[in-house]
Amino acid sequence: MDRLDKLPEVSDQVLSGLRADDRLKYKILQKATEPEAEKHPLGFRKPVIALSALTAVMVAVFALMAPLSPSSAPSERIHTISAGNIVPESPVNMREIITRASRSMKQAQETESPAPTESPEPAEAPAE
Amino acid sequence: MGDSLNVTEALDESWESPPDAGAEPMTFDQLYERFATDVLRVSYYYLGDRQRAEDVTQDVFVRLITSKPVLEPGKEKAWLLKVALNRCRDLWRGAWLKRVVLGHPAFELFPARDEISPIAENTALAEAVNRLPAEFKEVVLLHYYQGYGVSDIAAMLDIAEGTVSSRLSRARTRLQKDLKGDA
Repeated sequence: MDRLDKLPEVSDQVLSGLRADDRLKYKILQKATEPEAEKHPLGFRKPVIALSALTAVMVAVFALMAPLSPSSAPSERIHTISAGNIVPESPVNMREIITRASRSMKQAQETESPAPTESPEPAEAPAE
Repeated sequence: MGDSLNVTEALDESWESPPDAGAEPMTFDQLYERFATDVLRVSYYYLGDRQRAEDVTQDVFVRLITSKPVLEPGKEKAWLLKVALNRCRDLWRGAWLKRVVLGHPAFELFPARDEISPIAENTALAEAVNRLPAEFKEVVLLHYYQGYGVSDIAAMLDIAEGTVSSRLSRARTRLQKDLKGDA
């Protein structure tokens, strides 16, 4: 592509007004000699300050929330699960869920029709 | 600029050249006079924004002063352009969201005041180069604008020579299509 070979001349023509002048040179020398702390413009420092502040706030919030977090989550969650609708929301011990559910079902049955404790055969007691 | 001259003299004293270098090392003033405009224009081609191109040029020369690199005579410009392109790449990546939301910055032309307005054909070529994807633009600018060979570009950009060649070839194809579309 011959046109690309003309890129230097083309650039000299279309960008001839774009030159590194004394104003830019002065800015460079100023910047190179100014103290280290002043080198970063406010545009750079602003996000750094904002990020640091945000991190500090997040650490403080986590520190405050830590004592409030549930210590034994699985047993607390199981408490809310009804016997007929077992939907575990977290990877809790399924065996424990089933045991608790069947226990609560048994309790419910017992409250509906209490079996006599003296009888050795509880199945016959309600019939009498 | 009296102050700056003193500063320059002070900087020049600590300027280093590699051991056994035959040629006299260039001073900051000489480097600026000879290469700053090229650095500025390459950065402008890359970013399409005059202010950012000036910022990049400023960063490059500040780094030259503060880090005092050991520059091989004849390779000063390569070092300056390499640092400039790295800085442009950082800015380009950083401004991705802004570009996507606000659109590509308009590539303005800066003909000298006393010059007649540039020919449309030249304008189209400059704009097409600016529109190239960043990785193609780098190799095109270094090869066609700054006159570096494939091996020099590979060393400057830390990529394989084959990659440079393939990028140049793909860039040419893209430009051809783009300029045909413009015509």
